[in-house]
Amino acid sequence: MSVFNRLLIILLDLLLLVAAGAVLLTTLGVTQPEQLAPTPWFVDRLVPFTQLDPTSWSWAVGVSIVLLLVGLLLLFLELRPGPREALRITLKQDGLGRVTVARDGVRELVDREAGRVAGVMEVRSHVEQDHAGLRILCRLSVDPTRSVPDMTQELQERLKGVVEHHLGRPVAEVRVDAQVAPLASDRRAGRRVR
Amino acid sequence: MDSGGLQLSEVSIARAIVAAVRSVPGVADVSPGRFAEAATYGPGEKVRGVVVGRAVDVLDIEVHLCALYADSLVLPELAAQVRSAVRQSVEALGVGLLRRIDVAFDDLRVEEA
Repeated sequence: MSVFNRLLIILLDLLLLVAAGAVLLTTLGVTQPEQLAPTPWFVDRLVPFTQLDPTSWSWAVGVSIVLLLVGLLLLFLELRPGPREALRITLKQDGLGRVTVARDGVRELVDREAGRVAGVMEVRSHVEQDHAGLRILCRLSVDPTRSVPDMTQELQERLKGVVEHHLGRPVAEVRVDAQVAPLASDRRAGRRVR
Repeated sequence: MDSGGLQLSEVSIARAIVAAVRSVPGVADVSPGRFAEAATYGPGEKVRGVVVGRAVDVLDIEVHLCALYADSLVLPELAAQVRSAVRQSVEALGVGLLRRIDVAFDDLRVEEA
């Protein structure tokens, strides 16, 4: 989600929390509308909540509480930091400590090797690690005159062999996503290899 | 002199370890750290690339380095050589027992042909 959209949602959420909170406090009689509302326009919107019949009073309190909870949950979801993947890949862990390699270093290795395959014009890779081993996802821009299946197979075999050799860790999967068009630009541009 | 061994500063130990690590074939250089600075600090100085932690008479070492990319490069084997060099260096100094040696490869450097 873009930054602008997130800011808009957070702003609207805060307005929701303020409004629901004002209605709840007014309905419960904790405060008077004049104490909460900065202008007569807002006071006029809150005054009816001081004159509710019992049924409407219950509905107003219930709905206000629900809206407050929803607003708080939404605020929490929007403000919490996103999941961050580990910056390092563990190659070995024993009684003497750990041996790790920077994830970006492995990605650069993969990009370099992928660029050596004939027909690969641009590459952007992503490396993950789980209990089964390393998983490599390669997005490629390829030469349309080349055979994509042959290129893909060569790439998978090459990457698996190279990464397992250099890192000493099993490669569980090499996933290749090839296209003819140049890779769309994002914050991290693809590596142009030709 | 302490009965447990010579009390060298962490910075002196780090300096010796850096020299030992740089002499290992396949190591391009120590690395200052990729995500946060990796260094041992002393009064008015710091040694980048090695973090020396000392608890009583045991040492915890963290080495950050750039490996020289080659077809024959195998990182776990290089890490074992680095650990061996660190161990020899620390034993030569006589500064205490090694409890932990973490090796972090921050970069793979390709030599220009």
